[in-house]
Formats: sequence, structure tokens, C-alpha cells
Amino acid sequence: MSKLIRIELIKLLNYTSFKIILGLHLLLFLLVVFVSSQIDITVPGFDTTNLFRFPHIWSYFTWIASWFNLLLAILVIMVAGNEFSYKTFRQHVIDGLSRAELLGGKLIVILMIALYAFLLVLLSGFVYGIIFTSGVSPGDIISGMHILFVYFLQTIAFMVTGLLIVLLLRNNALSIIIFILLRFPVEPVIRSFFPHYMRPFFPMKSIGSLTPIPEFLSIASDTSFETADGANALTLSEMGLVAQTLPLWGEVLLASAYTLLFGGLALLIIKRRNL
Amino acid sequence: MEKILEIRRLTRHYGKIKAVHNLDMDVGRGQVFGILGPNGSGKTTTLSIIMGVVHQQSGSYSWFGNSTGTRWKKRVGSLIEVPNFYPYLSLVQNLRIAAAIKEVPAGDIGRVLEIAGLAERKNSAYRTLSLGMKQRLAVAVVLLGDPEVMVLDEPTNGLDPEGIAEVREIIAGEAEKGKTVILASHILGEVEKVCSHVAVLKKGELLASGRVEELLGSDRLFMISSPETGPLEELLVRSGMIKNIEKNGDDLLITCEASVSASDINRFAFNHDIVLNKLLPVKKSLESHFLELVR
Repeated sequence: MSKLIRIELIKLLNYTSFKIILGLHLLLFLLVVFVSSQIDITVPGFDTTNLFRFPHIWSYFTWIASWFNLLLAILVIMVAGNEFSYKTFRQHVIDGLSRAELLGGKLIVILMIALYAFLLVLLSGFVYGIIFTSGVSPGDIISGMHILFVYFLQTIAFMVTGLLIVLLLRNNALSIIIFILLRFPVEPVIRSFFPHYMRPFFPMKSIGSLTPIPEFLSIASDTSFETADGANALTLSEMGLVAQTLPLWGEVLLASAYTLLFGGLALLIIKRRNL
Repeated sequence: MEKILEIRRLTRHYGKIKAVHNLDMDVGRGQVFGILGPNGSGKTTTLSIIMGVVHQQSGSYSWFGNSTGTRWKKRVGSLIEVPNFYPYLSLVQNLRIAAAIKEVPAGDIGRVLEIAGLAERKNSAYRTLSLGMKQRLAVAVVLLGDPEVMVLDEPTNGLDPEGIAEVREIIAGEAEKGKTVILASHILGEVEKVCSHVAVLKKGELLASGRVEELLGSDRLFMISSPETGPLEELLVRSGMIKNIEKNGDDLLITCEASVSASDINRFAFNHDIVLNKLLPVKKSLESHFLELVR
């Protein structure tokens, strides 16, 4: 285990593209958070600064952070795809790693990135929350914080999906494109062929629904796009931008199941493949 | 003798191509085992299977008498086909990864870089190395942790003559220390100079294997010539001393039993009033033997 952490750290910490994309992720998130905190919309009954107060801040920040999950998945695709283009998975096996350890190394990378994203949202949420909330009590801070762990699961689920794709295709650029297309429009279009009640069960949909748009932002938008017969293929909710149709715990179970399934498939592929 | 590697009926086909077919091979401790064969004869596939990167379709192999797990890899250093490293990492960083996997202390990195002649470049990015230097780095990884067994696939690929000599010296040095070396090559001189045992592959099948001397046979060859080649040839054929005789321009190439020496031939000719103006012992090369086998 410590051996795997050690070798993955050597690979990551000296990889410039990795550091740039991670920096970009950090910068984009902080920028959106900062800019949105400066916007002052005065609509009756709607106060944006409310988003930055405990406990709303947790669901708002995780929602913002989830916009940039694509970058995290791209990081994993690049790091794992490199092992194929440099033939270093092959070399690792020659040098003595087992196939399971090859996958283990990449799961460690995923956990490290997820931990970074978790801490980023936790710390920035904490700082903004303290600034915007007057008279904070510990109970206010903790309430609603569970969404952070759901976000943690979401980043892992997306990254494991990316990992599975790159293990199948063994090509960075192709995998990134397929991953993006799968989120939109491939899976939404496929979903539209299924009856309404089945649509929430698709992987990209269920993983994306983990961090829903904060409630009072969605009130205005969701219903207005719904057509009478519900047959409209690409409403905002269908695109995964708005609303969930399963309860949160259901989404969590579903996304966990997909993560385990994809992880298992990844192990199967890596074990059977000639390197 | 203790068996290091045992291969039984190993088979790997790619579609219609028989990369390896029903291969049996045994390598004993301390042997320098050459695997010879023309391009595409299954050398690399065989080594890839025994190092666990390619799955066989049938048959089996076992290292040190165990056929499972990866523990044995700590005792085997291997270079297969081309060097595989992270281009953006320095040599030392690349070696740190290899050392961590092999569970070798990082202190050994300086030693192997020194042997490979890359100590001065240790902080350069791998991508800045020349082809020959990359190959040397791959040899350095093989030596990491001073393994009992070295598996080398075309180790002198891309090296300049000096580099080839150095790698050969490293192999010979390791063999002298009692290490077991498995060396695949299509360069016969390479195998002939360093190997004690050899197996010849063609289209994935084993053509011959054994000690190098046995494979070459015990026959002696002489190149002789005389002003009276015609009568000499006739006399030699009738004498029963020789097994074979071949005309080679003005010279005669004769093959005799191992017991026949150059002076025997000289005396024989002299006793028959024929003067030789050339009498040259010829070493039968692995190359000629190899070509005979593969043909």
C-alpha cells in the first residue's frame, strides 16, 4: 500500500500537465465562488447572500464544485492513459507489481484527487460560511454537511467511470472525448428512449444527480421546462442540470453500486489484458 | 541441477500466427541461456509470457519451482523489447519507481547508474536521452537489487559498438558471479560469445537446444590448400580420416573427427609426397550451424 502511494506520488508530483489542470480546477472553483459572492440580485424573496450562509453554503458549494468534475475525470484519464502510452503498466508487471496492484495505484490516485476536492470545498465553504453567517453556532455549520460526503462519492464515481473508459480504450484523447460525449449527449439521448421512471437509473444521470442544484435556485427553473405529457427529451432536468427524481439516499446507493461495478469491471479488464 | 525456470508446452497464437507453439524449455542455475531465432520466431512472446505481461493460451511455466504469485519477481531482473520509462521524469525518479516496486533500497540506484555509465545524467529527464542511453538505463533497472536471474531481450539493441561491448561485459561479469542469465537475441555473435546453453526457435517452435558446444558438434574443421589439390582430395577421401570435404575456391574445407589434429593432416600429406601451403584450423561458427537449423 505505502509502496503504491509512493510510486504514484513520484509520477504525479513531477507531472506538469497534472499540476496545471489541478491548478485550473482550484482557480476556476474559487473564481466562480468569488464572483457569485459579489453578485447582488435583488428579486423579492430571493437573496443570493443566503447561499453563502450555513447551512445552505454546503449544498451551494458542492453544486458549484460539481461543475468542474469533468476536469478531475480528465486528470485520471490522463494519468492512467499515460501508463499505456509509455508502456509503464507493462514495465510495472515485469518489475513485480501484480495486476490488482496496477489498479490499486490508480484507485489511490482517485482517492487522493477526491480528498483534495473534498478539502477544497470543506475549507472554502467553512471560510465563506464564517464570513457571511452572523452568529454562527456549531450546529449550523454541521447541519447539511453530509452533502460534502455525497460530493466526495460523486467525484470518485466520475473518476472511476473515466478510469474504466481509458482502460477499455487505452488512449487518452479518445477516452476524454468519449467521456464528455457520454455525459452529453450520448446518455441523455439513450435515456430519452426509455420510460420516465427508468431514466434516473442511468450511470451518468445518477452520479450527476448527487449534487443537486440548491433548492431555492431550482424552484423557478424546473417546472417551466416540463411539458404536459412529459415526453420532451431534453428538459433541463433530463440534462442532469436540474432536480432529481430519486431521494438522495437512493442516488447515493445507485452511484455507489455503479462505482463498485465499474471498479470491478476495471479489475477484470486489467487482469485479462495482455500488456 | 537446480531448475530456475521450467517451461512446459507453452502456446500462444495470435490468430493464425503461431507466436509460441508447444514450447518446452528448462533453465538451470548458473546457466547463460541464449534464445536464438530469426525475427518473429517467438522470442519476445516467450519472454513476455514468463514475465507475466502476456497470457499464454495453454501450457505452463514455473520460476524457482513455484508457478503462482509475484514473489519470484524480486529475484529476477528483466528487460523485454524496449525500455519503458516516464519521459517527463528524471533518471533517478524513474529508478526510484522501479526500486520501490522491486522493494530495493533507494541506495542501490547510484550503483546501477554508475555501472550503466549514466551517473552524470541522473537528473536529466528521460526523454532527453539518446536511444543507446535509454537502453543502458533499462539495463540499470535489470541490475537493480542485484537479482539472481537476468532476463534480457535484445539487450544491445540501439547501442554503439562500445555500448555493445559494455553490455556484453556486464552479462559476462554477472555470469561469472554465478548469476543465471536468459538472453534472447538474433545476433549470433552475441549469443556465441556469452552463452553456455542455447535454444533455437523458429516460428514459435523449438528446433534445437542444449550446450553450445554440443549443439555445434565436436567436429573439427580445417582449411587446407596445396599446389596439387586434385590428388590431395582423392587421397583424403580414401584415407577415411575425414568426414566431409568441400571445395572452397582453391582451398579444401575438410571436416574431421575431434581426434584428428592439424599435425596429423600435415604428416599424412607429407607421407604422400604432397606439400601443403596452407593449413588452417577453422572454428565452426554458431552462425553456420544456426543457418543450417533454420533453413
